[in-house]
Amino acid sequence: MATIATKWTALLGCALLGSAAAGYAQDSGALIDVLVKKGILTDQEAVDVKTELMRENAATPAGKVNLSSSTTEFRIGGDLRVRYEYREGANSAGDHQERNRYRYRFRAGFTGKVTDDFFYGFRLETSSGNRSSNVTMGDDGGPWGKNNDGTYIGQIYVGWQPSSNTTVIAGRMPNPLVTTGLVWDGDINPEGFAEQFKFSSGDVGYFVNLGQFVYGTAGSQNVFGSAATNSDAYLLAWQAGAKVPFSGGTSLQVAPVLYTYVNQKQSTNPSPFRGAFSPTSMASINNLFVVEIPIEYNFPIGEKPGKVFADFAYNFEGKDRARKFGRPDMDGENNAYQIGFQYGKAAKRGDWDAKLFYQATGAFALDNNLVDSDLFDGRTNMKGIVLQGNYALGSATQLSITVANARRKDGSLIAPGSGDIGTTDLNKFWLGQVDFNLKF
Amino acid sequence: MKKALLTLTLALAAVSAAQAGKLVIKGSDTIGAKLVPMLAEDYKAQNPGTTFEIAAEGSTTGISAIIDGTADIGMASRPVKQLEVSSAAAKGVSMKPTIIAYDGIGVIVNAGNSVTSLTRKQVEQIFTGDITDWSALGGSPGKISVYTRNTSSGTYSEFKELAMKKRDYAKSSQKLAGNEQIASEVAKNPNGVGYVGLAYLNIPGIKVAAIDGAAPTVESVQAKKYPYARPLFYYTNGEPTGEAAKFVEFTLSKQGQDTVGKVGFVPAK
Repeated sequence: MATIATKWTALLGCALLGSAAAGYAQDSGALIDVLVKKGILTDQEAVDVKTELMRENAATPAGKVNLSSSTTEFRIGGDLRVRYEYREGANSAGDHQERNRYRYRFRAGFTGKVTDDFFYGFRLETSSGNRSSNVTMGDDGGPWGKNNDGTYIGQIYVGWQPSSNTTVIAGRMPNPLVTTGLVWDGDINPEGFAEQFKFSSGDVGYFVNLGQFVYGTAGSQNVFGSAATNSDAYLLAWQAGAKVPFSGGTSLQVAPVLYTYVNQKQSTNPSPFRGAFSPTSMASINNLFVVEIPIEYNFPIGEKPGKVFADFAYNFEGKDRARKFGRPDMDGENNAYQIGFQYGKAAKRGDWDAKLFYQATGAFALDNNLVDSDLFDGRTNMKGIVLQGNYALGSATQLSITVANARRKDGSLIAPGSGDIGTTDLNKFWLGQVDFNLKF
Repeated sequence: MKKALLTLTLALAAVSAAQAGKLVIKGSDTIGAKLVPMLAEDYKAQNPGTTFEIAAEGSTTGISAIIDGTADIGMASRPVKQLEVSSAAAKGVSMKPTIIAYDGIGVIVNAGNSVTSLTRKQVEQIFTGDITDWSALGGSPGKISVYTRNTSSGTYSEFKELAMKKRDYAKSSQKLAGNEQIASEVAKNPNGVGYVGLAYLNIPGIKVAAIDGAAPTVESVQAKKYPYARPLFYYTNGEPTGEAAKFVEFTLSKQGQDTVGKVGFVPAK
C-alpha cells in the first residue's frame, strides 16, 4: 500500500504537471493511469485529479476554445507580405512606362478534418484578382480609403480522403496539379473538382492528379426566346507522374499533364473567353489542347539541396490558333519552355536560396489567362530571364528579391495577356520586387 | 388569527420539507434503468418523504443536467470530457465525480451463434464494419447486424474508447436507446451483435463472448483483467450537499454497495 507521503507527492506531481501548461493536462492522463496501476492512487483519486486538471485547463485560453465533436483536427494559418515593386515596359516605338508600387497581401484561413475521412478548407485573401492577392497602398481614391482593401474568399473546399492514396476535392481549391508559373500563376485557386491518387512500386512513387475546373459559367442555358444554347466552359486536366529516387540523395520527378477545354469553340460561351480574337486580345480559349511536362532533378550540393528544373508546354492546336488569329505563318509559336537551376532552401533562420531560370513562351502556346501575372507582365510571346533569392530571417519570416528582364519573342506579333504595363505592344520588360514575408 | 397563522406556517414548513426531500437524478441508462431505482427504493424506506425523479436517457444528458443545474446528481458511465468541464466552468459549475461501481461492457451475440470468443482486434473490426460476415470469424455465414447505443450514451463513447481505438462505428450499425433494447434485438436476430453492461448479461436469448479469453465477470473486472471494464459515476456540482450528499453516502454504504452487487455490477468499495 502506498504511503500517504508517496500518494501526496504523486498527486502534487500531477497537479504541477497540469498547471505547468494546458497541454500537459491531457498528457498527464497516462501518468495517472500508471500511478493507479502501481497502487499509488485509487481510482477515485485518479478521476478527481483528472477532473481537476481539466478544470484548470478550462481556465486557460486553449481550454476556452470549443470545437465541434465531429472535428478531429483544426488548423489556423496564413501569411502576410509587404512588397516594393518596380515594373518598366518599353513599346516598339521605344517609349517607356514605369510603375513603382508598395503593396501588401494578406491571406488567412483554416483547415480541418472531421470524422469519416472528410476535410475542409477556407481562406480569405485580399484583392479580388484571380492571379493576385496584392493590394496597392494608396490606391483607394483618397488618402487611406478602404475601397481597395476588401477581403474575398480565396479558397473554400470540402474533400474526402478515404485512404492516404486517394483524395477527392470539390470547391475553390489550391491547385491540385504539379506545375510551374510557365503555365499556372501560383495565386490561382481553381474552382471545380479534383481527384488525386498516389501509389508506389519499390522506391518509385507514382501519382495521378485529375481536375475538372469550371472555367466560366454562361449563366442560364437554353434562354427564353433564344435559338442559341449557352454553355459553361470547362478546363479538364489529366496528370500522371512519377518520382524516382536515386542513390546519394538524388531524385527525378516527371509529371506530364494534358489540358483540354470543353465548349471552347462555342460562340455563346462566357465572354471574354468565347472563340473570337481581336487584334489586341487572345483571351479566348479556343484551339488550346496543351501538354505540359514539368521536370525536376534534385541533388545535394555539399550540405545544401540543389535542383535543376524545366517545364515544357506544347499546344497541339497551336497552328489552328495561329490561323484563327490571322497569322498562319506564325504557327511555330505553339510551344513554351522554362529551364533553370536552384541552390539551397530558405527554411530555417539564416538559410538562403537562389534560383535562376530562362523562360520563352510562344504566342499561341498557352492560355494567356493562367500564366504568371508578374513574370513578363502576365504575357505570352515573351522570353527572358528571372533571378530570385530568398533569405530566411527566421523560421516564419523571409526576405525575397526577384529580378526579371524579358523582351518580345516575335516582334511581328502582339504580346497577348493582361498585365500592369497596359499594352500588348510590349517590346521590353523589367521587373524588380523586394518582399518581406511572414507566415503564421 | 394566531391559529390560522400557525396552520399556514406548518403548511409552508411541510411544503418546504417535501421540496428539500426531492432528488432529481438524470443520466446513464446503464446506471439509471435498474441500479438507481433500487437504491432509491431502499433509501426511501429509510427516509420517508424523500421523492425521486429519475431520468435515464444517457450519460451526456446527466452531465448536461449538472451543468444546467436541472439535476442534483448526474449518472454517467463515462468520465466527463474536457469540453463539458469547460462548459461547466463557464457557468460556475464544478464537476465532481464519485465512483459508485464498476462495470464490464460485455459483447453479446445471439444464443444460437457458434462464435463464443473474440479477440480485441476482431471486436474493433466488427463494430467499425471492417468485418461484415460471421464466416470471417469462424461462424456460420451471415451478414453481421451491429447494435450500438445512441450517441448520448456513455457506453457508446466508452466502447469506442476501450474497444475501437476511437474509430467510428460501422455506417450500417443500428443505434438503440438502452441496454435492454440491445439485448432484446440480439436475442431475436441470429446474426446480431451488441454490447451491454454487466447487469444485462443474463437476458434469455443472448450469450457473452469472451474477449481474448476473458469473460466479463465481477472477478475479472475487479482484477482489471477484463479489457472493457470501466467505473460508473455520480456527478455533482462540487461536493454534494443536503439530500444529494446523503444519497451519495447511502450508495457507497454497505447496504448501497450490496445493492450494486445484486444488480450485477461490481461494488466500488
